[in-house]
Amino acid sequence: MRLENTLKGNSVKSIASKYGIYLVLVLMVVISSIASPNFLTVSNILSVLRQSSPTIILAFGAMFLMISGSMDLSVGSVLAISGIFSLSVYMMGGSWLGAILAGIMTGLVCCTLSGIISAYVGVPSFIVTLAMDLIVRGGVMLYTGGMPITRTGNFAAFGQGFIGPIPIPIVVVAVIWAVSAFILNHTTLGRKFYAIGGNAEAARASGINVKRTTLFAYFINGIFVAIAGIIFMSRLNSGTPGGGDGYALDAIASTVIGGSSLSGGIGTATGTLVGAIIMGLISNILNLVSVQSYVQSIVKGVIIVLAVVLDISAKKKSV
Amino acid sequence: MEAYKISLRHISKSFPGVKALSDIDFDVRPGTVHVLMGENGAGKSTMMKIINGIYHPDEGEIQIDGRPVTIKTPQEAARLGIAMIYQELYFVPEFTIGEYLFMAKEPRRLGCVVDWKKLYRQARELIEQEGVPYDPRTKIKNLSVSDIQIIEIMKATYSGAQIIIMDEPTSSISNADVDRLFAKIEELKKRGITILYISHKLDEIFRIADYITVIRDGQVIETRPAGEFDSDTIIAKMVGRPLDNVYPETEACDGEVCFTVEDLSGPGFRKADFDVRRGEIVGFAGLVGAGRTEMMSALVGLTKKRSGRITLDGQELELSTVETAKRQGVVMVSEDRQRYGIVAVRSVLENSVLANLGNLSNLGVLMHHKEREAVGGFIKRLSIRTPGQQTLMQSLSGGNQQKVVLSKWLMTAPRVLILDEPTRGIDVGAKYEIYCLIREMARQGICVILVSSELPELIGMCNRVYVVHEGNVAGQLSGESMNQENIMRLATGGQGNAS
Repeated sequence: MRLENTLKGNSVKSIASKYGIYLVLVLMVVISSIASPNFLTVSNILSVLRQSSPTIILAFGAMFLMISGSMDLSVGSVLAISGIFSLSVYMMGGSWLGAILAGIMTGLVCCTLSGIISAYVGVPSFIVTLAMDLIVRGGVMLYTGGMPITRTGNFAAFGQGFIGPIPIPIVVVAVIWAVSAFILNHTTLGRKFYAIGGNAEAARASGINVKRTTLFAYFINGIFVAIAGIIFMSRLNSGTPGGGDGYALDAIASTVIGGSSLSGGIGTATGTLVGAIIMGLISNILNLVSVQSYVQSIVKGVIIVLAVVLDISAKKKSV
Repeated sequence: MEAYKISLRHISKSFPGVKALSDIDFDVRPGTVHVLMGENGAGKSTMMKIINGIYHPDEGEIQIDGRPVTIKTPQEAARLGIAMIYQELYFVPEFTIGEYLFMAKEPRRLGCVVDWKKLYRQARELIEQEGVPYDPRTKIKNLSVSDIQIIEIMKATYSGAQIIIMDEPTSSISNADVDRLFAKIEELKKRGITILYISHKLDEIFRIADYITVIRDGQVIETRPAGEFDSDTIIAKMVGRPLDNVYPETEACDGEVCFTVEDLSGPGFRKADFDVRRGEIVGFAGLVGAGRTEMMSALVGLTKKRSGRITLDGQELELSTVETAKRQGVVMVSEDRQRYGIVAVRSVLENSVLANLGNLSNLGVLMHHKEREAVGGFIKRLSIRTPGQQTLMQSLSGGNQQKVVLSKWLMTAPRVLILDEPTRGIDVGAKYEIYCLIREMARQGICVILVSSELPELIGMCNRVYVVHEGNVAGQLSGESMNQENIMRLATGGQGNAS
């Protein structure tokens, strides 16, 4: 009898620690469906995912940085400038390829610059990217005169379009998830990310070029931020220079909810996806049951803390 | 019935996949030095962490002065008069001695403002009482490991500790400091304080032990007064079989000289000249801080050399980065395992392949089956005790972590293998296994450089020994002249009969 109990206790604990964050997701879905009959409909789910696709994509970028022991606080502004440059190029020539390339180049330049200053000059990433955030936000405001760019032609086709029944942004998220998981689990680059974040000195002593590897994480982040920016502007069908404000911390929070460690070396692509979806769901359900937006902010903060506390305590118990 | 200071009754503790302790019964008499011996992973540290409230037993009971107690946190342990001096000291480098001694117990004014004057006056009194020559305003980071240990012990006794646990305190201090520590332990004993002492060093435990308990595989094998034990019986009980030799048979080496270093200078060392024959094990002796580690770091590209010519098989090597050194076959197992050796939060597999990702991948994509095969091979060959390849490094014992580090470098098929204190903090059984591996590497034609502070280890393992003194190679010894007296004479600046 006693043996049975301990076995049962152990397995509950180990399941909780292994799948803690997934249980949170399931729990949220259940509560949301009870709270609002509109929640668990295909159209609502697809719209939640489409709406939160920019932050989900940002979360993947934040994950690569966090695993390698860095962070980027400038992604909100970089999202805005990449999306707006992409839109401008589209409006000039009407070419999708040109527009997307322009956006991605912009994101890459900003993030690589942060990466170089942080990895090679040695300024902590927190400071570099905070400064970058101010610079880029100022730049994008100057460029647009602070006014949204409208009459965008067919630019919305990307953010609002469908492939079959699935919205394009969701397809993009799926691709980015798969690519991220592949990089982390199946490439030498992924191993190096984990190693430099887990113990940079030991990684260097093993012959890993820590600076170059860090720069690669910024690189990947830059591409992801730009893609998020293009989707963001295209879905809104307007070049909003103030767009993405506050997204950096949302992305970092999603990543932490998804099980990445702020001290580096730990994190998975699927965890990050789940963490980011949880963040998206919180806003959605609060909207559906029409909670006032100031209250929403409070509730969101509390839920973030609770989710991480749950995850940590589940992991602790299993030891 | 005799009164015990502390007793463990039927203590058991499991971690996922491992039974760390099973049904431990352990009694310590008050005012004695009780030494705990066992191999890596035998459960010594787990036992001590249970006493100190870091781990909680699954079953069983702890008694202090005959009364059952539960110890949930180190703070509770401290209230019960238990203090622990850790193997890896958790000190705060920027604190002064005064601040550190009174950490969280600062004398205050108005309940919240620290009274610095009073703090330093009390600290000075305390230090004078102990008769040690420190200024209480010295920063902890400027002290040696041994000084910090003494400070830790002062802190413990000042806080009223009745039981002091010391986890391998001599693993990184010099012989003179060991004498100082042991004098301190004698003094504590006279004051009636009980010492629990974990060590791997057979030669030193007999100097201080009143009682010795040997544990193996999470079980108490035997407890007896120290006088009833000798080294051989302890080793036999620790490993569960009689051990004939501490070192594997030395083999003569008649290979040609293949690794030469000429006129090597850099930070901490000057104009070093030495060479290694194919298949030879060459030792580097010297006092702590003599510049041996710095010299070796320059050979593997961890630090930049200022000048010097290094050749391997007649070809000059370019060793500016770890990556290029590795590619040319020169690698090092670092003395500081936690800092330079392992990524604690990643798995055994990931750590094992970390220096060899290039060979185990194709266009940057990892070949998982090859990885598993290679790592599985090394786990078997080095008999690494781990529940699996995916087990996190941090849950392995020190000796097994060291073996993983060793396999990481052996996997790169090195031609020159530098081992900096490879057996530091590792028990006798695992040490012998590592010695055999070193011997096997040499037999395969690898040039082995063994840096060690343990003279018997150098003499037992090496064909030749270079002695380093204040950044210079002071001389080399081999054959009959390679003995402790000659090595120490050269290491301390005297003249040796160089052969």
